[in-house]
Amino acid sequence: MANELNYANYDFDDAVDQLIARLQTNDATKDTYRSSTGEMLTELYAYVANLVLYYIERRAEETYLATAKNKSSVINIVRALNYTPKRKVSATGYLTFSINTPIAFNIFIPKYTECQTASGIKYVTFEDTVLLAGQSSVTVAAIQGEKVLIEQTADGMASQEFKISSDSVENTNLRFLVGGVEWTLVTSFINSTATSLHYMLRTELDDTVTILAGDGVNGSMPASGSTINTIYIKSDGADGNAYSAGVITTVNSILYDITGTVRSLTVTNSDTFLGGDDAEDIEEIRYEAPRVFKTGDRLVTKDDYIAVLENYAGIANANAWGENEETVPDYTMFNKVRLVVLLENWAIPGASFKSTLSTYLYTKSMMTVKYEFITPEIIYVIPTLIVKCDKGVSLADTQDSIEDAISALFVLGTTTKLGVSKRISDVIAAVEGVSGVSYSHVTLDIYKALDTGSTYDYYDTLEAVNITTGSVRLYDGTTLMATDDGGGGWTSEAGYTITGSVDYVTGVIAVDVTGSIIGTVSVKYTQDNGAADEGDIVVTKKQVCALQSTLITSIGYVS
Amino acid sequence: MAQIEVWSDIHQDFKKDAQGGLKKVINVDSVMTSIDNILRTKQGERVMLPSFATTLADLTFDPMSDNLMGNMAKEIKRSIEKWDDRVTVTGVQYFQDPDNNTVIIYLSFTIRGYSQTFNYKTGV
Repeated sequence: MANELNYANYDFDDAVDQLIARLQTNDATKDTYRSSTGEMLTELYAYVANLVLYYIERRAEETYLATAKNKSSVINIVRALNYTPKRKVSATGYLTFSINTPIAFNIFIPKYTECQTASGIKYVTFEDTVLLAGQSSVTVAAIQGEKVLIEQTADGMASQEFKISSDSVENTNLRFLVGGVEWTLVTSFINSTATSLHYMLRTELDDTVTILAGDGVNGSMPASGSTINTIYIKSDGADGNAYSAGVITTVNSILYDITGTVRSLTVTNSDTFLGGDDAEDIEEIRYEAPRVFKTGDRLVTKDDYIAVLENYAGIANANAWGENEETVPDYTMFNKVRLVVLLENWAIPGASFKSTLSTYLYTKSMMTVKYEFITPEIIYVIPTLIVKCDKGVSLADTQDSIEDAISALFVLGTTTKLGVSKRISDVIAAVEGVSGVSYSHVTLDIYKALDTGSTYDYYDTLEAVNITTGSVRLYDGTTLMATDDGGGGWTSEAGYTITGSVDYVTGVIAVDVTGSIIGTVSVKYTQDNGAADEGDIVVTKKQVCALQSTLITSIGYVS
Repeated sequence: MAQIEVWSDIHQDFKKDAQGGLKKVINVDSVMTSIDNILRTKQGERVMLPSFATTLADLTFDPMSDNLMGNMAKEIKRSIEKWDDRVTVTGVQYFQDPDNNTVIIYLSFTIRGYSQTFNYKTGV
């Protein structure tokens, strides 16, 4: 309508058009030229209006979770959902301290004993322990990071604040002591009395932390002059994950035996240190907060489990299911919930991680529920392509873009998830969505390096079944050694004699090789899913597709 | 007899009319206002329309010469005819006034729908 401003149109030209239309209805002007005084004033007004409306729109955007762009706005919005964005989270695991020759005295290994890797990543023990007389080793729980102690003095005022000016304060392991007495962390002072030794934490917009004490009515006030000790772990977040055993090699702290004699111990990690994660960024908070809020802090539905698991530090993707969702419903599972989780960088959780995670989940779950952790299976995919491009485009640049587009389809937790099949149509769409690509032919090969066997030279089980008959190729490095004959046997290539079998239904593969092996023995094959899912990789609830590599066998111009 | 209002514009002095409203100029006066706006606006000055008006201001510190005068005349004709298609410039005369660092410009032009030639004088 000409006589109304359409506030949705923030465009300068629209504003000018609407203002002129309005002026014309009021007989204010008969005609307008860009050079007229009236037009100049109208445009000046539209320019100012456009500028003001732009900032109004920006402000409006900051009030909604979906559109907010500043981290400060996102944090403030999710506070209303009782969601506290995670700070850096430290990896956890176990350290084993050893002594070459056992001695006749106990050696104390106190909490916060510091060790480190060759690259300088620090870890501290998380409990007091003792290497007993006569023993050669002891294992103790540990956490990545270094202990930091801050000493301050209370001023006796209400609602005192104690700032920690570090953005690496570990998410959960912070202690607040007033006059040597440890206070308790609460999320609100609403149930605190004047004598409650409670404190709150506030993560600041710059990722530093402030400790809040009570006002003497809700929550006790630290008395004037009392010593405030804040102890926290300075975390390296995701950089602190140790993905292999034996990387923590140095004891930094001095250890004593019961006689006060300094003792030299060695240290190692017999398992991985996992679960370390960086502070949540805006997009993670935006995604996680509503999902976690929806759970009501209780684990009831499948979505609840997945939301809470994926919000747990270090977990990149998770799946959960019960008895009804087994391919054949398994009512002997009773109240058992099966969980499968994958950590950042495709790491598979170890025993200590699963133990800690279980403890956490039980605080939110129904009373009778039991958990069973299922080991995830990673299906390594090699999209194999023939590509035809429009004339004139750079083939090298197009190939790079295709590889990037395919990589984007295999981002764990985002574009590839546990229990979600990989559709060939998505891969084709990604390839043909690249500028300059005219058309393509795509095959999704599955790759697996074979384990050595006892009865056979190589023996393994291919997880992604059924296998397409005649599609299994056996390689020594990149050299083709044999293909399956379509009947469960092998047809050898020149230079090799291969015997053994392939079971297309169970995926069991057995190989005996006559001839020298130079590289990794592996197979590539395709999955037979029938007409409905032809060309796709159909996974089970515990399986996830990962990108092994992209193989472009041919790229050229359309004829 | 009142003129038929074909074109109208706001009076540049922002005066009140007899009814207390903003005084308007119409028809030929409106065109004159338009020419005045084109010549008195420096190119780049107008918001969202930086190409509007003339580049005369760029010539401020050029030495006075016939060449400069010629360039000014061309620029005036080009810009007026570009920004106001009601006007066809038929002549540009200029007189140097070195004592006042000014060039007096006389324009003669026709206006679409009018048979006579109009004149306009300004100093730059």
